[in-house]
Amino acid sequence: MTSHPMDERNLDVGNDVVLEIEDFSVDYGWGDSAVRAVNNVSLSVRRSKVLGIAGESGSGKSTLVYAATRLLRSPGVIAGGNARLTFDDPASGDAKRRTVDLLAASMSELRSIRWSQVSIVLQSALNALNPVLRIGHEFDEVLRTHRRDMTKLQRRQRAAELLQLVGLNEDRLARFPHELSGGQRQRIMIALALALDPQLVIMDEPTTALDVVTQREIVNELAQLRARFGFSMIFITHDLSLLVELADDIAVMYAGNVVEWAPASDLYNTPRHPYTLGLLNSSPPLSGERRELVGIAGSPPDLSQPLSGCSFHARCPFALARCASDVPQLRVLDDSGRKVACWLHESPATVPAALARRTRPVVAEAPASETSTEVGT
Amino acid sequence: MSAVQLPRSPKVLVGAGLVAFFAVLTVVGPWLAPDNPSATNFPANLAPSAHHWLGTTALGQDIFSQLLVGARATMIVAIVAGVVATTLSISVGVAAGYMGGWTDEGLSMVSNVFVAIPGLPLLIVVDSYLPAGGRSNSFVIGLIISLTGWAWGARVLRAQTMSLRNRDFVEAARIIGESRFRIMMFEIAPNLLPVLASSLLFTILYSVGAYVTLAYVGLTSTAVWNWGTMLYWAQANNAELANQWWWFVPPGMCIALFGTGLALMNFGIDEFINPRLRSAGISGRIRRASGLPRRPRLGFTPVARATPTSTVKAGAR
Repeated sequence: MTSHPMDERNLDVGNDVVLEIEDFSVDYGWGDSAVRAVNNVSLSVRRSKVLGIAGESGSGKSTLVYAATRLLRSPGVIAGGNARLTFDDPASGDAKRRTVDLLAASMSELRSIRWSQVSIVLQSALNALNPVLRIGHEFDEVLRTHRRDMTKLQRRQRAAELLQLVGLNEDRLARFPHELSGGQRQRIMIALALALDPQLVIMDEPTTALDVVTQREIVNELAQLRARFGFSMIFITHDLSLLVELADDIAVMYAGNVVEWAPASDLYNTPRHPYTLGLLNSSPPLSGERRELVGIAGSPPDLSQPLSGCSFHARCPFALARCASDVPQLRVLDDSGRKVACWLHESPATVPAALARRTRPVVAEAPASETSTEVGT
Repeated sequence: MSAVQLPRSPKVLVGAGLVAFFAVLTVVGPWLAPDNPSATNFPANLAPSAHHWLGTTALGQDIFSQLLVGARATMIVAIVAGVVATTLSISVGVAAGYMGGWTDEGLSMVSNVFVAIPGLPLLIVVDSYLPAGGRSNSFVIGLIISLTGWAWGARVLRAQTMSLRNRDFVEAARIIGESRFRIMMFEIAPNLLPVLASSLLFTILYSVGAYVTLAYVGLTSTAVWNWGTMLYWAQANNAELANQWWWFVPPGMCIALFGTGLALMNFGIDEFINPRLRSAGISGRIRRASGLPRRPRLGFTPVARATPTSTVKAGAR
């Protein structure tokens, strides 16, 4: 295993970006009936880092990532922006980085990048595996296509090694998909996604269909694999507390916009957007005392109707008058580089206590007592 | 946004226009006809003129009137045959596909036999046994034609039903105790709509062909005017040899145009029923202007940026 090229990849890379998404917009449909599902989103995935994208169903998180990799199905249309993938090109020497404009790439260019540079793990592993092929065959097929110089024995060894990576015994190679449990199938999908040492792995709610124990195991394994091989990862989920453990950065999406983007621990401990706060309050904390869970009142806006102002203003407990008319832009909030799209942070006077914390809140503390000291971030 | 979006591609519009034109002709044709199509009170073999737009036959009948009056019988037979045959194909196909076992064996055998029998000779045989009253009745002829036109549809629907019967929603309906009939007609049949609609269109097309052929070989009553009878008389009077194109070209054209209309409409059905295919439904001008592809391609999301690459920096304020 140690002789494998993945292991020699330099993990000590700086802030360079693997996937850069700029002002990205996606429509469903065209012309008058188009619905804007992703609106002017800019995101970047740093090398060897995990970007988590959180948000409720229909917030555009999957749409964004699928569209940026050109995998979005009709009637999805990319309505604007840029998406660029930068990767080490094995064909052009070791130090050579290549950047591909994903939106200008041809089908054959995309095909050469997919799986070998960008791979994706979908939510329903049952549907992704061909029910009449043995697991080993799936591995053999991809290695035979992309690694022409491997012998049959090498391919078999590589498949066994990949299964071990995700914690499965190699005798599973002879099984059919229906003989495996949901968790095992999802692990196989992850192993398949890693088969060609991609530089970016996209996980679209990979653990949503699994129970929390299996979910935990898989997330731990992903974290270990990432630390070991240094690939970057986009992890899409609606489970914010899961992301906090796995991700380096988290982007919170709401109604097609990124409303907050921050390092994971900052986002978890000191949320700055009311929506993030609402999400955090609606799931139990991983540690610490028990507290009452509070949901977010209302439901997400209908994107087929024109929105005015901030998309969250109707549900926001702190909404100001201007929130209903002006659209907030994602802007840098402080030195740590975190960004938030919220009018509350325009002036220190309007920042509510709950959104101005500097440290993790102590549960017993009453929100009112914080006001005087904490306002003014 | 309206719930039903009509297809907008020119192909489909042309097809629907043609079919609508002939449908209107079916209703108003006999009233519009300037003369009695059977009356022989004009000079024979006239070329088209202002009085007789399509000239006259060897017997001195007005061909334009024949064409207008003939539309009705042709369409009625085609629609009766199309509807009856499609109903037969649904009943047999869905029942065979859903129930399986001996029902399937039996029904499949019957439809296989009907697929294997050559249609036209069977029609000729059945038709020649009909009493004269039956031959002049469009509904009877339609029923007979449907007899040879249902079997292909039934086979296709059976295959489709078999693939649907084990889907979760059908199993759920079975478990909560819906009756077989209800499952077949309300759970499964709506999923067969695309197949059903195109099978209906093509059965209608087949029926026009079959009816015209029967009339052309002289097996329907010559008292009922239809486009096939016109061709029969044209042929019997050597119109082709005499170069009287106005006698045989118009009915031939009508048959061809109606068939084209049905075939073009069939393109629209997929688009209408499968919303994913609807980018094909916008006009070519809009499509090209916005940079959308003709057909959506899996794994190749179209990019339709209003401004050229990398100049869109507005959001970064």
